[in-house]
This record gives sequence, structure tokens and C-alpha cells, in this order.
Amino acid sequence: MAIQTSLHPLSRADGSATYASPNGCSVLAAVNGPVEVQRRDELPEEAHIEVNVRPYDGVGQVKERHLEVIIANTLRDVVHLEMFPRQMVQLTIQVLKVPVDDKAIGRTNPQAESYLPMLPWLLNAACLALIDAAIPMRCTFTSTIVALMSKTSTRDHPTIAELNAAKSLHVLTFSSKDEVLLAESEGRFSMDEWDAIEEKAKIICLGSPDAMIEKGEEDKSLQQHMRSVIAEKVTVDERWRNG
Amino acid sequence: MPREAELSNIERTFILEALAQNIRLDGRARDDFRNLDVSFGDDYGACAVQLGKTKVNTRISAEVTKPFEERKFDGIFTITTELSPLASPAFETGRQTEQEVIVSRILEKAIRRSNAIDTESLCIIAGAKCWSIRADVHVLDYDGGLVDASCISIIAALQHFRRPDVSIDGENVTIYSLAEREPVPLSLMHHPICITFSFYHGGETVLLDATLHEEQARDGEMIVTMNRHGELCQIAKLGGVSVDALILLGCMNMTVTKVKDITELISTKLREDATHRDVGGLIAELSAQNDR
Repeated sequence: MAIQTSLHPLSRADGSATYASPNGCSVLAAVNGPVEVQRRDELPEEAHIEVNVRPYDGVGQVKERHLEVIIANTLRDVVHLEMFPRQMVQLTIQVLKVPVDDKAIGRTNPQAESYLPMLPWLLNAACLALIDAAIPMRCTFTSTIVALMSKTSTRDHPTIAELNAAKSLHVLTFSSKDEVLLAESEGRFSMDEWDAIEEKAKIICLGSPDAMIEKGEEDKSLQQHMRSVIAEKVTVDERWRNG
Repeated sequence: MPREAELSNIERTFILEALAQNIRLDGRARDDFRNLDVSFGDDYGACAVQLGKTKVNTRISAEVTKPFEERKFDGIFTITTELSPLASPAFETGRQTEQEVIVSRILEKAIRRSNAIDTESLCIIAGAKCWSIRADVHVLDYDGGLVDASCISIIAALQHFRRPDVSIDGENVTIYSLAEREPVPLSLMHHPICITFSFYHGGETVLLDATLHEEQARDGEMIVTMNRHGELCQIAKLGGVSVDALILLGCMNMTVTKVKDITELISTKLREDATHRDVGGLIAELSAQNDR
């Protein structure tokens, strides 16, 4: 199963996107902006960025608030907020699907689970939704999760069983300009291991630097995938010019 | 925070004059529903409903808790409807709009208080352990007909949901995971469906399944909840316009047929989903449930 994305699935939001990861997660992000801001959030020189993460079941609690802060901080580095002083960019992300755990008994407490497995998909969906809403950004970004299974083996897009067995989990976000925007880790690992993981995540997100060889659909980097989704949308939207 | 854009006078007059000539903006007849699509997710109790442009996802989950002190033999069933800015920038998180209150109260009345779920069947050990079933309604896209779409999605999701099987041995309760034992469906008493009527021209014109623009131009509305046997569960008439009793009776007759159609559609979709899941025809063998 490959990554599945769609742009502008919603009719009312300014921009929206869905992102389904190969390991069975699916999220829907919607951006409204620039819109009117509440008085207490108003900033005199830049736009306030509001992020809202809505879980699959139940209402958002500590875990979701934590994710919101991480996402908002990442976006603050990317979005040209200074272009909309005293306004707001509002991002809402709804989790539509989580991987099914056959061994779970009833509803396990989602608050007790790690926040990392969901984070990269939220960020990727957010990026696509921001582009769809035509919010000016310095660069685009892609994010992924890598699980360290043992000293030498790592897994991208880990399944539930792999997540539980992993020594450590790492979420990395790269800008289209090759910079690391976010690095969140959990578990035990050495510096060397982290370097290897960064290398691997970079290849997943941006593609390997020496990859001039033609690759199949499956091996596309996240960035290439995102580009092709947007290119497709632009071709459809701009059809009237060529008509 | 942004407000919902109001209809301009020109738009309003246009809609009303077109309706007087028996024309709706999208070309439907007055008693036509928009395209209704019901689909189910990979796990039990996840249902997506699309009614025209309105999209509602419902997710049912179950956990074991202690029952309320005053209701020792009953399980717990809750519905949460939280409207988010996904559906419209006018919906704020954390603050309830008037509409949100209306939607959640109507759904509460239509589904919970009409005893659609047999809460006594959710009891595991009286006064100590029971199932708490929770329905989370996520409104993703909003183009009118919120109550109708949410109700359909909750009812469909409840029928689709399976809770883990339990066995009781004295005071000990064992809960089996999905891999160990085939999960059991909820016991539902009936399947109430909400139908919203919109009134125009002082109650003379009646529309079914109004879009957002049509909702904004209406004088009043009436939400009728009925099951397929024609049993009335709830009527809510909002908006000040007074409507002729004969017209209301006509609405009731219309509800009967519409509810039958919708219930039929839901059960067709459920059957499709069941055959899709039933790989190798094993479900019947795995199930420990008796035919009723």
C-alpha cells in the first residue's frame, strides 16, 4: 500500500487535504486563513497560528494539546506570518483512521500511547492543506517516522507490532531546502544511531542525492510525491488557460 | 471569529421566488433527498455518510466502566457532537454555537431517549462493571441537513459496531480481544431516523433536505424522528412560523416513506460490508450468537 493523498476534499474550508500513510493512518487537514482573530490571540505584527488536532475517538486531551504545540511551532518557522498582521491562520486536523490492533482489548487508553506515530502524517497533511489554501510559505516540508528496531535495523512506516517492539522512535521533518525543521525522539539510542536514522529519514523525505536513476511509483520520495499531487491539481485548475 | 456569511437579499428573494414556481436551485423536486452515500471503515463502528456536500463521520467506541450509582443495571451510552472549523470557519472549537446545541439535543432525544440502544444489555456486573458506548460525530463538511446526516451515520455506525466478547465467572470478568473471540453486535431496539422539513412562504411550501442556502432562507423547520415501523420518536418544531395541521400530517406521511427508504439503504450497505468481511464464510461459524 502506498501513500494516498487528495487535495481539496472539503467544500467550505479555504484549503484542505487528506493524507493516508502506508501503515494504516489517515488524517484530514483543513486550513482557514487569513481570518479574523479573537482579541486575546491578536498579535500586532504577525498572524496568530491556531492548530487543532481532533482525535479518532473521544475529545482532544493532553496528547493532542502537545501535538498542537509542536505543529504550531514548526509552522511558525515556515509560514510567512508577517504578511497577515492581526489575523489568524487556523489549522484543524481530524484523524480519520488509525491502524487496527487485533490484540487490543476494547478501547486502550489512547492518551497513554506515544504521540510520535501520528505526528508526521499530521504535519504532511498540514503542509498540503496550507498549499491548497494558498498561504504563503518559505518552503514546503515533509515528515516521516523511523523506528529503531535493533543496533543495525530500522523501519520506516512501522506497524503497531513494530512500534511496540522498537527501541526508539524518531520523527524528522525536512524542509524542501534540505534543513531539519523538527526532530523528536523517544527511547534509548546512541548518537551514531541517530545519525544513521537522520540519513534514512532524509532519503525517505527528500530522496537520495545520487538518485538520478528513474524510479517506480513506490520508491518516490515524499517530496516527489507531494510535488506530483500538487502538479496534478495545478494542471486541472489551469485547464481553462489552454482551452 | 468569523461569522457564517448571511444570505444577501437578492439571493434570498431568488430562492424564495424560484420555490414559489416549484423550482429548487439544484433542480431537485421538493421531496427529494440529495445523493445519500453510506460507507464503513475497516474497523467496526466507523461510518462515513455523505449527503450532497455534507460529510459526517461517526466512530463508535466501547470501554468498561463503573455504572452510575442510581442506575446500577444500565450501561452508559453517550453521543458527542462537536462542530469544528473543518466544516465551516464559523464553528469554533471550545465554544458551542447555538446550532451545535440544537444538533446534540435533537440527536440525544432521537436516539438516546427513544431507547434505540438497550442499555441494560450493556451491564456486565450490576453496580460494578458495565460497557460505556460512545459515539463521536465528526462533521467534516457542512452544506445543510446536519441533523439528518448525523442521525443516519450514528444509526448506521451503531449497527456496524461490534463490542469485544466477555465471559463472567463469579466476580471475575474476562474480556476477549478481537483476535481471540468474534466480537458481538450491540442490541438495538429500533433504528430511528431524523427527517428535517423546511417551511417557506409562511408554512405553505415544504422542502425536504434543504441545502445550507435553503436553510438560511427558511421561515421555520420541523425535525421528525421515526423508525421504519412508522413509530414516532420525537418532533421538534423550531422557528416561529405556524403551519397548517393538514400540511403537518402530509409531512408525517412523507416521513414514513423516506425513513423506510433510508433504513433500506443502510441495511443494504451493511449487508455489502458483511459479505466483504466474511472471507471464506467463517463469520457464521465463529459467532456464538443465537438467531433471534
